[in-house]
This record gives sequence, structure tokens and C-alpha cells, in this order.
Amino acid sequence: MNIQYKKGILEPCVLALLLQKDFYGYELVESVSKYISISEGTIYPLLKRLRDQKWVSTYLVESSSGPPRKYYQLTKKGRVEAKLQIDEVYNFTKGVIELLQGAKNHE
Amino acid sequence: MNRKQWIHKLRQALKDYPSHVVDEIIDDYNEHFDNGIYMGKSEEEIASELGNPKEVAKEYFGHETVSMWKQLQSIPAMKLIVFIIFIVGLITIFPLAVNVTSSILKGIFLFLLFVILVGVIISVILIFYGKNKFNKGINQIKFVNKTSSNAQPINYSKEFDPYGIEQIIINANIAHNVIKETDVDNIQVRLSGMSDLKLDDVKMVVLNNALEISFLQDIQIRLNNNEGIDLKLEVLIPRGSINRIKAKSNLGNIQIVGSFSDVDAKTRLGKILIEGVQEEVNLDSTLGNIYLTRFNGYGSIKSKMGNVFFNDSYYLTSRIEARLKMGSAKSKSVKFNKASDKSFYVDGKSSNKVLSIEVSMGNIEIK
Repeated sequence: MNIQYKKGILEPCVLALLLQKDFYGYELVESVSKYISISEGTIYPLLKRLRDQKWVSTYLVESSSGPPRKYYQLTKKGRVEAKLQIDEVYNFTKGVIELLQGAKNHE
Repeated sequence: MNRKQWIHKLRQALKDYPSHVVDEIIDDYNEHFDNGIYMGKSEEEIASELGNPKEVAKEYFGHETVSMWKQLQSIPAMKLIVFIIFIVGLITIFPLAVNVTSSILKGIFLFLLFVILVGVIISVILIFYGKNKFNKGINQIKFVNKTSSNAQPINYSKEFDPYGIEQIIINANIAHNVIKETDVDNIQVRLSGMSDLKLDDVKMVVLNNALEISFLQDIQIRLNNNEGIDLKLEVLIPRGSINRIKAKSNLGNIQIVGSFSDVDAKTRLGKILIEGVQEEVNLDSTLGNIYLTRFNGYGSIKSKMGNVFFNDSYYLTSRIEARLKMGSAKSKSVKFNKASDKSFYVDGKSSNKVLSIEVSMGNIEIK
């Protein structure tokens, strides 16, 4: 599949997950790859961009059992943006799926 | 590819960027590897799932470098165009100037021509020889701006078993330092506020029965200069477990709540707030006030510019010996006796221990 598609869709996917709860990097990568296959390394540059844009903030949690983990949390601005993007992508993909289904039925 | 190789390749691919930016990026992947290994994956597995480090590196600065290049190229180019227009204009005006009979006007034209020619020569030299240096300069400024705005909410905490710890030493140039006895089982150290500080920058060690909390040397300097104004350090202590507190902060406030046998607090710009009955104290402030609430204790209190306030005299049993330079000593509840022109004393209620107070510019007030 075209790599540019995946890159574009990664941002709303990550925002959608973060809307549900705070994630640490590894956990987020695992959660995304459950649904879509990506080169996992590309999530961290995205997270850095989101942080630079102040859509997410981070905090560190030390654990007695595992390694210390940096958690990512949506900011107020990030929440607004996440909801907007989810709506946009949802409507867009719905249209695309309907269109593609038409072609499949025709086959 | 194993972990070391993958990280090395990423670092290689990012080598043109400032090391502190790269270090921060690498930290994320080290954490990723740590977590992957903790979940039972092999280094090779994690590395292959992360993808090609070169491709990953491109993701970081792709957009910025392109736009930065465009910006840089546009600056000298614009200058060159402006100068070309100037020269063309001059060439057309120059014959007119030569024809002018007045020698003063001719002189002005020639002088202007000379100034502009020198300007053109300097700018051409700059464009062709200084370009690389110029680019680098802008590059760096960009990155500095970026990192300084990287401040983000911090919320670190760490716990220590109080067993064997008698003393807490704090050396932190941050805004608020709070040491508090309360209902906790372990000593809790919390750091919160806005900063780009990492947990690695904070040093917490238990050495010779003392828990020492400080920041790495270079961080200390940075915090002292411009950061730390939002940061708060809180140390929560199980009641009765710690005897001695030693806290130092150049710019921040120090608040100590509880009962200890030995309290040592020093700040230059901040306030010192002590709440509770202590034994020996040694408080030192340059600009800030010193507030004492439900306080009793002996030892020494020194303040240069600030005032010393006792919020209640009820607990106070020690004899006070005060020396003032400019200010005055006031109290409604206890009697200040004059020992000499600028020194006063208050008889101790039930103790002959001495609390000596030295104030240069401020006042002493006992409520």
C-alpha cells in the first residue's frame, strides 16, 4: 500500500487513541499496529511533531516493575484537533468505502 | 540489526542536528527497546519492526529543512536584486550627473556612487564567501528557539524507604521547595511544573544516612538563570522519621512544615517559611521575608533585606536576642526590651535557650 496514505492516516489514528486514554510510546505503537501495519519507528517523529505543536504533553512515570515510561497526553488544543480530525477522516473514509463497495459489487 | 546498531544508525543519520535534540530523540527509542525487551521481544525483532533508521530520521526534520533552505536562499537573493536595480538606476543617472555644471552636485553624485559600489562589493563577498557560515548561524538560532519552547508539564515522583535516612539535603534553584511532615509511609519526592527537565537531570542519592536531592551542575546553572520559575519540589516525609533538614535555593522559596531537631535553610531571592516547633534552626535569607508559624526554636536567623515575622508567640519559649540595623522591632504580645541602641531582647518564657536574630534592612514583628 502507498506509504504516503499510511503516513497521512497515522496522525488521526494516534489522536483517536490518545482521546481514549494516556499512552506510553511503546504501548501506543503496539496499539496502532494492531489495526494497521506501519513502520513502527514513524510514530515517534509524529509524537514529537504533535508535542512541538502543543497538541500533546508528556509526563514520566517510574515503575517498580518495568522501565520508566514517558506518557503522552492530549492537551486541550489537542483534544479539539483530535475530534475534528476524527470526524473528517470518518466522513471521508465512509465515502471512499461506499465508492469502493460499488466497484466490488459490480465485479 | 540489534539495538546498538539500530540506535547508532539513527544517530548517524541525525548527525547534522544539535546533540541535545538528537539525544532527546534517541531517548524515546531507548525507552521503546526497554519496553519491548520487558515484553519479551528480542532486540532484532524490535529493530525490524521500527523500520529503517534512515527513513525514521528523515521523518523528523523533513519539513523544516526544506523551508529553512528556501528562507535562507531568499535573503541574499533579494539583496542582490535590490543592488542590481540600484546600479542600473545609477548608470542611467550618472551621465546626467557628469553633465551637471555645478561641481558640488557632481561631488555628491560621485560620493553616492562610491558608497553604493562599496556596499555592492561587501554584499557580493558576503553572498559568495560567507554564505555557509551565515546559513549555519540561522540554523542554530532556529533550533535554540525550538528547544526553549519545549517546556512541558512535568510530573515526576520517586519514593524512598525512610529506614536509615536521618537527614534530607536539598540544593535546588527552583521556585518552590516544600518539605513537609505528613501521613505517608515512604519519603516521597515530587517535582512538578513546566520545564524541559528530564528525570535524569535530577540527582537523588542516599549517602551517609542522608537523602540528597540536587540537579546536575549545568542544569543548576540553567535553572538559576532563566528556568525553574515554574518548578516545584515537594518532599513529603513520614512523621517523626527525619531529624535534620538542610535546604538551599538561590532563587526560590523554602517551606518547611513539621518538627525537626535541626533545620538549616538558605535562600537569596526567595522566602523562608517555617511551620512547627523545632529545636535548632539556622535560617538565612538575603531578599525575602522569613515567616515563622507555630514556631519555637533556638539558634540563628539572619535576614538582610527581608522582614522576620512570627505569626504567633504562643509556642515561643526561647529567649530572643535581636540586632537591627535600619528597621524596628514590634510586638503586641511580647515585650521587647532595649539592650542598646539597636539591640533588643525578649525574655524566654520557660527556656534559656537563645534565638538570635540579625536583620539589616527589615523589621521584626511578633504577633
